[in-house]
Amino acid sequence: MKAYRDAAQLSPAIWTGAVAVVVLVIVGLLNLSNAGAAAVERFHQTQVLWVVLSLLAAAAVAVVDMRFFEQLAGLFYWIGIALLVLVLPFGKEVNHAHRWFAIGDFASFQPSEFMKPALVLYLSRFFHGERNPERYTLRALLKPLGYVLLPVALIMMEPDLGTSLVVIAVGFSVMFFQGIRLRSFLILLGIILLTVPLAWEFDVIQPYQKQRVYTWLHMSGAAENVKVSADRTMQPEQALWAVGSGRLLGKGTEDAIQSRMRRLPEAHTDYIIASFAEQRGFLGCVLLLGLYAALTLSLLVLAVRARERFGVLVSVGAVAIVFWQVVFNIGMVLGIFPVVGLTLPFLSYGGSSMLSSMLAVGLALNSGLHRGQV
Amino acid sequence: MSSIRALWHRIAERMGGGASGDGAVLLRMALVLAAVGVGFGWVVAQAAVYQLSDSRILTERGEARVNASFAIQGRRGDVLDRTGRRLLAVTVPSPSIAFYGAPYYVDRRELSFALAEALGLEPEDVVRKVIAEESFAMLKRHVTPEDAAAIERLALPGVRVIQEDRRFYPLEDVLGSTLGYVTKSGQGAAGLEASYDALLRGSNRVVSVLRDSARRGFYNDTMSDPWAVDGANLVLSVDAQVQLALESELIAKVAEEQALAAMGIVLDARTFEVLGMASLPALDPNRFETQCGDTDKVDDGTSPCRNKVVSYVYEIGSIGKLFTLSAAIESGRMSPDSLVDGHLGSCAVGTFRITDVHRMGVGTLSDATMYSSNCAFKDVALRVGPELLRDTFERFGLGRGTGIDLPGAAAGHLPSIKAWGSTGLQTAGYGYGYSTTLLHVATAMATITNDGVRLAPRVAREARTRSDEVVRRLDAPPPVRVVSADTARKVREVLARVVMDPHGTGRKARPTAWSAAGKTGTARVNVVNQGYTADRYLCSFVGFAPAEDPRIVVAITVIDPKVNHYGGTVAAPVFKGVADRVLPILGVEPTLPVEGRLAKAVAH
Repeated sequence: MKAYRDAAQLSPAIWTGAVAVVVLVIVGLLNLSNAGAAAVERFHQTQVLWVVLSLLAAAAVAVVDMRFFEQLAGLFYWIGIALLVLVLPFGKEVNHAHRWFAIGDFASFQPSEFMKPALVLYLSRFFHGERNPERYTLRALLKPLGYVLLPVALIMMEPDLGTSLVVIAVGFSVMFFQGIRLRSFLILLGIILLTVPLAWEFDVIQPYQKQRVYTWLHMSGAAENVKVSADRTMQPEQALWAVGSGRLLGKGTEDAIQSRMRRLPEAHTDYIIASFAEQRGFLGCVLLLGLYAALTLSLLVLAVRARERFGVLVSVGAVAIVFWQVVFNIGMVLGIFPVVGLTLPFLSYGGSSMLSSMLAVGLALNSGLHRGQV
Repeated sequence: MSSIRALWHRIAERMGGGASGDGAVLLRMALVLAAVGVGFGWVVAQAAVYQLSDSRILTERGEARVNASFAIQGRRGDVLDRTGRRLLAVTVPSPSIAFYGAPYYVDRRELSFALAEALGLEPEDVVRKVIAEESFAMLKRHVTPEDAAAIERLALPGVRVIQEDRRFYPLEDVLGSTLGYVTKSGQGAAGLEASYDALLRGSNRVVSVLRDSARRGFYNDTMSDPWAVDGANLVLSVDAQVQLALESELIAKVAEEQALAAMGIVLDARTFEVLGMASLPALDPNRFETQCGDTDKVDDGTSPCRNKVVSYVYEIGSIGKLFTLSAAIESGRMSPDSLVDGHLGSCAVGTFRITDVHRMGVGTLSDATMYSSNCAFKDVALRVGPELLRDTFERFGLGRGTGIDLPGAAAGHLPSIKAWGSTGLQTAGYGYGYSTTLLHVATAMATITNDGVRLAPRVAREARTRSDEVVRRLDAPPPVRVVSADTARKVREVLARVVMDPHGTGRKARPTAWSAAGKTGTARVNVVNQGYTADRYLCSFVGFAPAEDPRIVVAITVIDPKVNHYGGTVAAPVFKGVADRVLPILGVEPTLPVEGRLAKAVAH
């Protein structure tokens, strides 16, 4: 019962984080019903179910003893890897990609989403168990690097560029926070910068992904002479028009005709922010990002206040999961980055994404809740 | 500040940093915060660019894609006969097959062959269209609904069924040239379709819609009924039964006489409404493209495209005596009983000599009319004098329009008094030297039956909406007093003798069970640049029935009959046939003692 000794003194950071998450999922559910996707009704009901399940899961994760996760981190990680291997031959095919396991006729599960918190746990345990907590040399980092790159490679094979980039970003965030020598960091950076053109040249990056980069270059004005067909720019353009139409205060659900007329691509998943921006305007976007910022900062405070290095790294990992997805997703819609398939945490339709983000937050809250426990 | 410092110490502790660890963790945390700040800040800044500074142009572009507009062409109104039940022209939906371009991977040659087979077209033609046209080619217009459904089932790439309207004339060539036709683009091009085009044609209304990504249109709630653009239905004065009677009588006569062409009109004797109007050879407006193709050809009266009743201009010959007779009585200088000299059927007019068929001596003006004596009527013209004669002609509408609601109506030609001279005046007395249309003749006769007041003949009565509300009564020009009621009555009595007298030239026009009146006319065909022909005639009859209480006016002209060539033998029997069939349709009681079983059958 020691865990509840400090219950009365639950820090404002925990409250802030929990409230921010709850508000985000409520905003997400309201927005989803107006997102202008086909079969809104069914999406909405399914999503409510997932939200409830995810909130319960987060609560459960938050109160369970952190050592439980510490011990089982390896199991989670390798189960995740196994699922990522199995999804390649056995996953259902959607848009020429194998990313989902079908559960019955309606539900499906995306193992790459589960991989994000699992990787955070496993990396955190690795660094927690290290006897030499000095800043790491490159050689010492080979093992954790492998832990990151193994799932990344598997996810790339699905293919799912967006999620693999997020997994890289999350893994590196944890590694970076643990500490890395500047020289090692620069070498890693160099390797990555070398890898990109190689991956480009040898078609590890798929042709359609290359097209998206061209499109992005073209639209951002960086390479106007790059020839891009009109139907390639149509979807991103459409999203920008919807965002721009929102102006300061938004058009409301009734007059947001671009959302209502289902003009938006992937309106309920990757491009959810476009319909939100059209309906709620700049003010709405700022408030939404404020919620994300509140969540991020409160989780960072929890990280700082965690009792053990494990808890610190888990919290940082959770922050990374939320932060990178928010920035990549909205940045992609706003044309800051090329188009990659990526959900917006708590707002996009999708059970796996919701559960994954919620588990991450639950883990971070856990590290805050258990600060008094020995 | 000290509490933040304390926090850093704590985290440094946890991370197990040594002396140098403290600062490093601080740096890392600062970097993380900086990254979060930069990440969110960048996104917010970019959102501000789009939503605050570029928002106007982005909104415009976005809404330009969503807001679409297209024109709805209202359905063209139907044309109905006077009963309002018989459809004469109707607009029916008619699918057409078009090609809207196919993606590059589609084998267009293969596609063409599939299309040609399905549509029953020549493969080469389809191949040419499908391969040449990048984005649109009309493959076949107005296919049957079954064929359209078959094409849809094939689901060929880029091939679509488009719904078009098509004008259909259920009675085919009945009333054809009067109805006219509608061009491919929906423009009424002849006949009533042209004169009432604005009324029949639906308005072209632009409707704005919201368009979704599948290019489906959605109407805003605020939009009022976007379909209320249909054209009005036109109700004619023409009675389909009367029309059929008129046409069948004319067709029979044309066949019997091996005539070149024929025309006829039935007017309501009181209202000048057109009950029937026929022009042979007849036009089937469903096939106007083949029938009206050759417009350059000089028309000899055989073009089915023209409505000869209103457009065929000719010298009417003896029927013109009707006008001279009216002028003579109206002048007060003569009465039906005034004596005139028929010169025994042979007299000189100017430098040439004319002969009459009936060799009349001295008789009354009434007799001269009955025997159609040219020699008597040249004298009548001289006695009436050019001013009065021409003035009466003009008031009858000769050389002017009749005011009918049809396009292409000819005015005819009435020379000036100066151009007439003495010879011209005399020939005008018996119906030569001026030209007119059959409609002028019928209108003039109706003026006599209407106690000397000339109205404008009308083909259309009123416009109705689809739900049968009357939109508009179609008004006619104001009436014109031509002769006095007394003159008109006297003229009617004279004309009754023409038909009812056993010696009258129009005796063959006498209906089976009704009295009638009228005037025959035989004129030589005056061919352009050749003058009068020796052996080609225009045989006419204009009359009304019953003689005492006229209900209908019927005018008939048969062009170039080969067997007989007198108005009294060719056209008068047509009048009889038409009157016998039309009067019962109008419910007119027989006015004569009924003789024989056939007559009894007609009467009941």
